[in-house]
Amino acid sequence: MRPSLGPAGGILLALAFLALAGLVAFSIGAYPVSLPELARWFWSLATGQPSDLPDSTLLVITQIRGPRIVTAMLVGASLAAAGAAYQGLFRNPLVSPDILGVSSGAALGAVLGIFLSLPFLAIQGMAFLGGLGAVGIVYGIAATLRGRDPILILVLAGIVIGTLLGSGISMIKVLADPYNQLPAITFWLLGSLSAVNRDDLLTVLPLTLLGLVPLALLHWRLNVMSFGEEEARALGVNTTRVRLAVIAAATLMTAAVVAISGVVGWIGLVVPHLARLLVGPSFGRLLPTATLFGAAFLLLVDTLARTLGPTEIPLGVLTAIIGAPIFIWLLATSRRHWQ
Amino acid sequence: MTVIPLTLDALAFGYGRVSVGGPLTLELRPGETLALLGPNGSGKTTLFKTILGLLPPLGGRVLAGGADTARWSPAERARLFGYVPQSSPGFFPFSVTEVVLMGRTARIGTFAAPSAKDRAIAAGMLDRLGIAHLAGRDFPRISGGERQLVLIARALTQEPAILVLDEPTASLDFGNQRLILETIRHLSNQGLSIILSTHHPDEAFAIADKAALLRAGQLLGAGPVAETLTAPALSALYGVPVTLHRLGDRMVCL
Repeated sequence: MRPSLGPAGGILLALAFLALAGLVAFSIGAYPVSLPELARWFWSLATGQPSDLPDSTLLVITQIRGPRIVTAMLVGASLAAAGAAYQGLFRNPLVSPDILGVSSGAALGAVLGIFLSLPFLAIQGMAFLGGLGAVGIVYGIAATLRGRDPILILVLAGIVIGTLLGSGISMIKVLADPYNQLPAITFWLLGSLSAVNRDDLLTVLPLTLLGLVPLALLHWRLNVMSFGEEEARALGVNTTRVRLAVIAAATLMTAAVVAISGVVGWIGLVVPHLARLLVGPSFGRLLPTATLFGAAFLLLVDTLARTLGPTEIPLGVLTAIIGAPIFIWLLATSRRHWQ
Repeated sequence: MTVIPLTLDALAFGYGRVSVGGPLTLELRPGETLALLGPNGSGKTTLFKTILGLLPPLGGRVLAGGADTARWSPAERARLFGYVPQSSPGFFPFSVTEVVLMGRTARIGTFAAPSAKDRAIAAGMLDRLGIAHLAGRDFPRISGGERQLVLIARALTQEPAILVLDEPTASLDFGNQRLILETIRHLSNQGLSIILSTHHPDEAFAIADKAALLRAGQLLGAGPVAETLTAPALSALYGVPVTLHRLGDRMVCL
């Protein structure tokens, strides 16, 4: 199927969707911020003039809801971009950070960090190492068992390793202090942005940008990689280096956001598919479209999470409820695109 | 077009430590077409992958214009060899234009995307092969013969000195086999060096200058087609009695 939108169309649509999601997110909640108030705040930011907004509104924009909104965008963008990269690199439409075990590996690293009461940056480092270790083991298993259905083997290896890492997490939960650490670990594992503050945001932002840059720079080589190792090398791609760079970049982005939001599934699987339906498989268009849609999607989910009920609903629960039916629909309608 | 002779110097090939064949020595002069014949499992594809640098040689050298290619980067190799693999539908639904543009990968920087000039080269190549009408189609959705032509266009877009085709007519219907052979002959007439593998001696008679006979990894013979593809040699190669007959101005195999 030809993509239904032109080169710029998909990206513009995603941008519009993101802007709309941002407005909705600001205007819903305990202290709604209206569009004129937001406009005045942006105007004062741009001109350097003090705005005449009340302090409480300023506090909501700059300290409470603002950081949370930007973080939600960052988490969605990172998971969707990483998912698109893994799918192209492994020539596998069924993989994503969560299915490859990257999220579980990062989560185990982060949980271990929390358990050991490490500082935030060390938790980030542990998450990255955990994610990298997981994708390395999963890919190693799939490469050793090649010759059978490679798409299925990679997915199954990811699920097996993910389960194994999950039992590691359970082990730490058993060992954790049931009054101080356990509730934090449990709620965090389900995915939540309720505790996010500006410092978290400022630590994660550079890490995700650092991951996005190589993916953007290597976008053409990633297209060629989807023809497989040998053809890509025959076409002049240094496949070993590109593979390492892309895995490191996608894993860094995943680990960085897992360390602040917990494991948020489905985004990395579903959003790249939707983006591919809109703009086609070429990574130069797919990456920005998936990144923007991922940001908007997770922002909407997080807005629902904090407003639907009297207490916050874990993000992972909502993305699963929304993502599972979408994915089944994709399975039913778009299988032919992979073959 | 660059003019580069290719020499396989006592080349031994295989996977890892498992030897598949060689050592064998062969020479391809600029502009020549070499047909590699051999039964299934004789090592044709392994030999091709070794020539292309996708597998490291187990011994000997692949010399391009006298230079050893062992330490070349994938991009350097891709500027020498254009490779046409056995047709696969590809994975994601890239358009034909995008697939052909991928031939420019070795000619642009690691972080670059194809420019307007690269697009013009790709479009020109589609024209040259008479498949400009396929430009906007999805690569996985076109027919096997069309796909083979697109892969040839992609290889030519690399602007290689030597075109390497792995069983280009396998799994094609009769009409498409003729079309691909005509295309290869046409490219050869324009001065491109060509190596192809085939299961049909008739194809070698039709388009090749030289033939090499590979059985169990060893050369049974190599040289000009008329001297190499003899009835006794083909009978020995395939293990079944083969007779040759003259039909018009060329030989056919029965």
